[in-house]
Amino acid sequence: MLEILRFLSDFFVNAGALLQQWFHQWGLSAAWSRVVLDIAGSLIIVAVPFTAIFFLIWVTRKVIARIQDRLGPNNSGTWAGPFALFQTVADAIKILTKEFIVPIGADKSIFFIAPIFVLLAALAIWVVVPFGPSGMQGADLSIGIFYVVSISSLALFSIVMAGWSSRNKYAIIGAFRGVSQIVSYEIPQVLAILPPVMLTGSLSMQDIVMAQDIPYIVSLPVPAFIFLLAVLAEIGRLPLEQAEADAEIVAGYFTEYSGMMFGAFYLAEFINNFAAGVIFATLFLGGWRGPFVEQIPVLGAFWLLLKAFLVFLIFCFFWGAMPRLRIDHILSLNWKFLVPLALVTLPVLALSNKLLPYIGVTSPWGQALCLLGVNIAVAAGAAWSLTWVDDYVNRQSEELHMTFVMPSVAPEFGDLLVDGDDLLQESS
Amino acid sequence: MFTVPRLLFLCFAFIALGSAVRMVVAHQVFHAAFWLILSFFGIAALYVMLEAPFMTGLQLFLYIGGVAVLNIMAIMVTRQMMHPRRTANDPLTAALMAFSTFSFILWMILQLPFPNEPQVPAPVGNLPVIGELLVDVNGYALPFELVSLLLFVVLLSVLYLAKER
Repeated sequence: MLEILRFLSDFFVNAGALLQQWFHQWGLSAAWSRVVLDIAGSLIIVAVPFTAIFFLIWVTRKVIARIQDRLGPNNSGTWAGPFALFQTVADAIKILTKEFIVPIGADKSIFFIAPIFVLLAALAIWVVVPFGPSGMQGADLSIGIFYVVSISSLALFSIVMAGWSSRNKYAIIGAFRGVSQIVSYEIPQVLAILPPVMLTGSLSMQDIVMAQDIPYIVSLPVPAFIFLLAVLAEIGRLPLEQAEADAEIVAGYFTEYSGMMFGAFYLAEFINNFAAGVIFATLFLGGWRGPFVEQIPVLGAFWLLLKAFLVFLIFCFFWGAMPRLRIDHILSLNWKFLVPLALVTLPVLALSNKLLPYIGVTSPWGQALCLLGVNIAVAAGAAWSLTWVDDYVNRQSEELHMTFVMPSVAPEFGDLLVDGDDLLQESS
Repeated sequence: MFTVPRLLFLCFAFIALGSAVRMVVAHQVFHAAFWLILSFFGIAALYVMLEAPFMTGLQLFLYIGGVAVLNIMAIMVTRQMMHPRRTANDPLTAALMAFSTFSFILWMILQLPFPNEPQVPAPVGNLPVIGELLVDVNGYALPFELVSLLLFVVLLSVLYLAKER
């Protein structure tokens, strides 16, 4: 009994070792058993996001329905299970039976490659995600988080491919918006990744997790905030959802897709959302670390997925409760607020982290709290300068009013929060 | 003769070169851009085989995430991209230009001495080594800072050019 428990406590590593032993007994050479185990491992890694999103799609629909005072999927049909838990399965089967429609004039080869490419890009991130202490990771690359950043730019190509090859105005508008949004939000994203990397001294995801005796959200809340917003734009969720603004341009870049090709985009979108949660949890929430992980390593995967799920829930709340920002507002939020803030935060944090030992702070908690103070100071400075800019613009526009009537000079951060035209929400 | 790494190398080299040729002969500029991306992928795979993960990341990030994206954005704002057949206005001059550029670059590459051994022996985790060499005074600190300066100047001039007047 105890043996079984011990086996289960580090299931994936032990099962791998056991399988390797069996292969050895069956006379398989070491190299071939390695290949078989690698294939099995990668299938498990791919299975994680696919099983997770079947649950997450249901959660999203339920949460958004509750926000909009509806019940959501609820006993629709005879076999959808309790609380319509298997609604997603029914939807998947329905979508599989639908016809592929290729528009006349579409660029056929690229049109068909785009859905495959978007799924590939969404799944490639999961290779470097550490699910547990050791052995529970696809590959502990020394460039870990840099690999994630490089891969996330591939999502952009699937958007361009889909948008351009569809030969549809809505699709190409969506692709344009998606490209400009993702390209510009990549800058604050990378700048927000740098502080945790700097404190760790390594790009490897496993090292970043191991360095977080105190989760980085405590010592680096401002970079965490910037990263959250940037990643929100990267995955195109409300309020930064312009690539597929379905109240204006049908479904954006995948307007023309139908059947399972549409399904591929839909799945990739949810996989990306969850992957964003996983990356955020790894960088700032301590990854797989949690109570009892030392005794039961398998719990690591549970803690990681739980944290990622909480981040995903934040995305869901945004989705249900936020208006859609206009594309120029989104871009000015990035270039006029997030990029300067990230550019200031990075050197300030680097300098103060270097200075801490000289003023006698050496304990991890002391360091974390001092950095928290620095973060709060930077945030307060940002808030003060925003109000100053707001006052300045107001004074300028008042002066302009005296000479000739002109409503406002430029969209500023204060205007970003409410946009009357876009208050109408989608009701999916 | 045909070990697995060698076969993989041939495969990736074929992808890189083959898609480069397809890029040149593609009828549509947009297709050419995607063949170029595939060629970049082939080269990234070659870096993986050389056990240079950082170079792989750079190849993905700079060439695919930067250069190729710029290409595609430029193509997307160009008019009449859907017309497949296009001929150069002056094919002879174009061919001459292409040939002379190619031979100049080839000549430059052949001028470089190819080292038989790595100039800096790389340990297993080679990322800190690259970082230290880049900011070391005896290493590449000066070129590194010059490149940063150049990029800064480029940024400023782009801002100046894009300013509404």
